[in-house]
Amino acid sequence: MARAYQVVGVMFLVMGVFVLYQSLQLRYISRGIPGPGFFGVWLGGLMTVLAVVFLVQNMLPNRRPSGPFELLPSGEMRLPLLLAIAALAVTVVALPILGFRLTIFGLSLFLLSYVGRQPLALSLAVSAVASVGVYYLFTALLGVILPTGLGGI
Amino acid sequence: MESLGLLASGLANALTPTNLLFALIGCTLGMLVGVLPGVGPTAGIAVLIPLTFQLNPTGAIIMLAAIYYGAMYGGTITSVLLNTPGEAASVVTTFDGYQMARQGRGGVALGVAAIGSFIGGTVATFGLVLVAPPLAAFALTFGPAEQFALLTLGLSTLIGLTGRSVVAGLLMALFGLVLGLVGLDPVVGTPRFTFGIVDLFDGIEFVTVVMGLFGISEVLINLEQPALQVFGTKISSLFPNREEWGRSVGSIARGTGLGFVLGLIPGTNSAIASFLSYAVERRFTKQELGTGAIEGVAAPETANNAYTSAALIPLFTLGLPSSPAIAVLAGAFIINGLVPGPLLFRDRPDFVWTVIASLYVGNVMLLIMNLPLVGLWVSVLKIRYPILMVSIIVFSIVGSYSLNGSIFDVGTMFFFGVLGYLFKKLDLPMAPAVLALVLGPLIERALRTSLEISGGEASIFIEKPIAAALLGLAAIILLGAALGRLPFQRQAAAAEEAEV
Repeated sequence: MARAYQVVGVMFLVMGVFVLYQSLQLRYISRGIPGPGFFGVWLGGLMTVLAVVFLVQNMLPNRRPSGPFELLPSGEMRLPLLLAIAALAVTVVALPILGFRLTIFGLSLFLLSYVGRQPLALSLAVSAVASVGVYYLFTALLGVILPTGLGGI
Repeated sequence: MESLGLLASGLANALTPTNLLFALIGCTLGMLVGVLPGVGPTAGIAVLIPLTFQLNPTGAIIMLAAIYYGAMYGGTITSVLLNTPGEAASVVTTFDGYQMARQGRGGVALGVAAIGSFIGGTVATFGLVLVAPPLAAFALTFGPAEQFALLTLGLSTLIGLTGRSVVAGLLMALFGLVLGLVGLDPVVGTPRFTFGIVDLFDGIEFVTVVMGLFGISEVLINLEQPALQVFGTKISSLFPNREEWGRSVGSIARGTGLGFVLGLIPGTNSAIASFLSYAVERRFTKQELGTGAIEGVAAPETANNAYTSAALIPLFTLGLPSSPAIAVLAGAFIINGLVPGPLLFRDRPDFVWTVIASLYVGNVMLLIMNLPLVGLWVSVLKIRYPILMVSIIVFSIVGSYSLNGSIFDVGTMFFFGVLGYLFKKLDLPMAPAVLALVLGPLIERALRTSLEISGGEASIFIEKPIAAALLGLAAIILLGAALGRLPFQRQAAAAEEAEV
């Protein structure tokens, strides 16, 4: 657990230094008043200092948290979880190409049948409602525009 | 008296068939959000925002507010019958509520919870009617220095009451403030942290961040857990007997007062209200809590509903969201072209008083929905989680896309979903980040305007007595939290540990 927090501390430190550096590229004072870099400089500086405090806290033997840390689940749920995350990433790429209905149908079918281990017939039925049903609910009834694919699907 | 006249006018608006329908839909969806484990009120409101896009602003906020307080009612059912809280504020209810169910008194637990919730919610709404107008009028006298101090105090209280590490809370708040920097500078329009990406020029959309952090991350976390098993529970009488009534009256009164006061304090949340109320009840009741004592259900359930209505006071009067769920509601205000804060009472009294009146209407609806229809809500639990998971994801995609018609926002939401999953695994508090993201641009604007007025002299924050007092209080809160001496800190840590 302590190692995980040390990594978090380093990430906050990197972020703090980055924000500080980027903000220093902007004007701190502009025409006598605080400029666009003013707030960022203070935030970046504070984050850097606090990240160091956080790191030190998690390195001191008497203060660092004990116990194991498991970033991903072990056992049979690890692969479905990773594939579910991958499916979400694929969805972002597929939405402008395949459109809402086809993409969501594919995503729902995958999540229900593979990740959720539901029967195929139920997965198909729910996927149809989640894609075509939701599309018509929002576009026709609620006037919300949803993405269409390259062929206008 | 003027407030009561305006409230009567608002009630007439709230009772129109259309607004009644919006309140009914909101209460029903809120009950669902509360009943179903794995969907909290914050994610529930965020995910359901797109349903309100075609509504007028009043109807939209009536519906979303009803989802918010409806979730507080719904969370009780699973706590009592399944020992599984639907949302964090109902965790305490499992301690005695589930024991009551095991003793065959589950119906009574649900009954007293619903009646207590109704009383707490209704009394707190009446408090809102009395307190909000003068507070809003007072807030109109605030300049940028006082606004900066007030916003800083709100954020500090939240950080102080979050988690076991103040440093981690501060870092998460800074993370949210940094996210708020992204986009065009609010004063001079210089792009900041946009990396040439046009979609970032308007900043990171707050609602997509919330959907990711609270909705998608919860789906990912739930993938690791075994499915909830629903078992048959017979519900007999819903009404407490004379002796149980006698024991509950004091608990309901104390829960109402405590929930209302906590609702006025920015940075608290409904879970803290219920945990603290349970702790207070330990001192007052002769019964041993945790063994099925009715006081252990009546007090926290009343407190979290009183809190829910009272927490709208800082939003309506100061423009200050006190918790992530209220922050999402504030986001919905902005989406609907309304700026939460004291000007609402002056410029849009019709809207404000209709929404406040709808809280009364919604509380009556929820009382009816809870008592006779409890069996229906239990049957909702039979929905298989994978179907719920797909529903959350699809609604989140629709919601994030429809904000700006941008696939980029969908990607942002998924990114924050994975980030939220990691934050949860690492036990890093997300509430400060979310609130800081909302308050960040306001804090920056108030800070820079104050310094502009003073010619760059930071002494403006000391010379203005209200600003100095608020900033002093913020410093005391952070120091107290760091030393572990803050009131409610233990209950807040327990509430956070119980977060579902």
